[in-house]
Amino acid sequence: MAAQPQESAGAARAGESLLKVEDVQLSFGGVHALRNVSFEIRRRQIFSIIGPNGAGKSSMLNCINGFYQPSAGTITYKGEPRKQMRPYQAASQGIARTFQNIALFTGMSTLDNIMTGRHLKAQSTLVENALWIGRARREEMAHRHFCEEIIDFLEIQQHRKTPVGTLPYGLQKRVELGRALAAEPELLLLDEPMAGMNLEEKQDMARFILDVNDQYGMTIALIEHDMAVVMDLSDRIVVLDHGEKIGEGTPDEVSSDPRVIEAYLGTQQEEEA
Amino acid sequence: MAFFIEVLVGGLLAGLMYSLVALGFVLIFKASGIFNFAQAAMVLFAAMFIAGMSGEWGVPLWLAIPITIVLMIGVAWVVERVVLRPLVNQEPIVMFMSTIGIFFCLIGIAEIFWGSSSRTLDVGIPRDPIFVGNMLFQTYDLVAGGIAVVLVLLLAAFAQWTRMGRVLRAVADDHQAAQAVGIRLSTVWVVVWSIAGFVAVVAGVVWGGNLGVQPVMVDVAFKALPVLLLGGLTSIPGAIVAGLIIGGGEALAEVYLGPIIGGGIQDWFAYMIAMAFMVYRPEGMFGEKIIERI
Repeated sequence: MAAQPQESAGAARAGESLLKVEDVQLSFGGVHALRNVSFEIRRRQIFSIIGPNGAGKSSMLNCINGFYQPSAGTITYKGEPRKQMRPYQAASQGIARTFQNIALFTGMSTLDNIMTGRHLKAQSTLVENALWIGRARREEMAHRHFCEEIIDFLEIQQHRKTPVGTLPYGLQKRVELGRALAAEPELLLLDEPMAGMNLEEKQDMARFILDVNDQYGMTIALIEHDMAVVMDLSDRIVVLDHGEKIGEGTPDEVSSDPRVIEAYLGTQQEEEA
Repeated sequence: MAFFIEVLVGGLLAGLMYSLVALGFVLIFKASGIFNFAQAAMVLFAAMFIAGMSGEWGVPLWLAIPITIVLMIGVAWVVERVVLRPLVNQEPIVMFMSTIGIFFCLIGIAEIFWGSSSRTLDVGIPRDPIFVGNMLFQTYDLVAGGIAVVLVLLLAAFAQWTRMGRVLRAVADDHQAAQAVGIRLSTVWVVVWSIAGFVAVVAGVVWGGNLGVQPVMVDVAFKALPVLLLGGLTSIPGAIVAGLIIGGGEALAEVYLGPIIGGGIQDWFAYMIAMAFMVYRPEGMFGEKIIERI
């Protein structure tokens, strides 16, 4: 898998605008979680949102997928500015996501979890479902086949029937990615996909993310704290601090931006030193 | 010994009836975290409409039952629109109070239509006792128990093997994640309340066929409460097993303990079993253990 010339390739690969965030604000009571944040995600990009804890990264993701409604500003998705947006509507327009603190259906098997990701691709009605007739059966087979491919891709074949609650953390993260992929999203939101993983697990996850982006041309918006990972994977990075955008650019530009270094990378380097 | 088994089986079958009502509570609680106080009223509501339609309008049962099922789906839809949707994200206690409101509304509506007089409901299940060896069983109880078992198996199959079942399980597990994969919670509420309504129809027919249909039926339906305490609010197998324990225990206590303490045990014994149990397992037999971080 070719992962070397990310920066240059990224610029060349990037297609038209998929998601445009303009002057988005979000406040809870008197607390401003986001202030005038703007950026643009282009098709086929791996776009990272970084920043210290409490910078508003997850809030941004929650706005994009409809859990939060911005109090001001516009989010334009596929060329259309959207108004009130519920999470299921975002999902039906091709936005899938994973969560910072894994939100799997813990009582269900790996396969069932991934199958729920196909929810919006299913067309059979409740009655057909209940009686197990007509499209319901055919459809179920087709979805099952699709999900098996995802399971193969993520290398979790042997855990197919295991209740996900009993899987180790790293694998749960993988299942969650699988569930998001099952929806065949146009925009995939990953909230700290590598948090709490060991090096090997991180490498696996990075490989999956690159493969998804490469093979299916899926656009990915990513929040991640591991700077090495972010710099390696991203085509473009936006930096938030205290709800404000303090920098944006390619990994090279961002890592040499003095404001970013001061707010974020600087403290990181001090810690590491 | 024969007498013991006779009493026990009778009790177990009665217990399955409790499970039927408890099942309605569990379905709604699992999917939405709402303790639906109105479930007992839904049983009465369904039974009164079926008995009323067949008794007063001469609608045959095979038609009255499907009509009532459709009616219960309508109730589910109205409840979602008028009660659940405006109250979304409120405290559980607020939701609980609103279901008490629904409870009285349903009883009120049923009484407006059909009055509060008692009605018989002949569902065509034979009532002759049958003998197995020298033991005597009620055919009605056996058939009713069979219906309860079939219903539970159907529900389990629906939940396990259909897409909608998977959706319901997903919502029961994690609302947020369910929404993120594109599940509309409002649709799910309607479906869940409809299924609970369907269960209420079955319970109403079976109960009503046995004891007659009258507003007091609600009290019997509340026998589901100790079953829930014992089985846990989130477990379908729990509701079944707990129903059996309560039904069996109650019947045995009535016969063997009753004469000693002076009878009338059946009204409160179920709660005693449930409360004794709660001391040791507050989450119920099969309920999810709640682990809280401190």
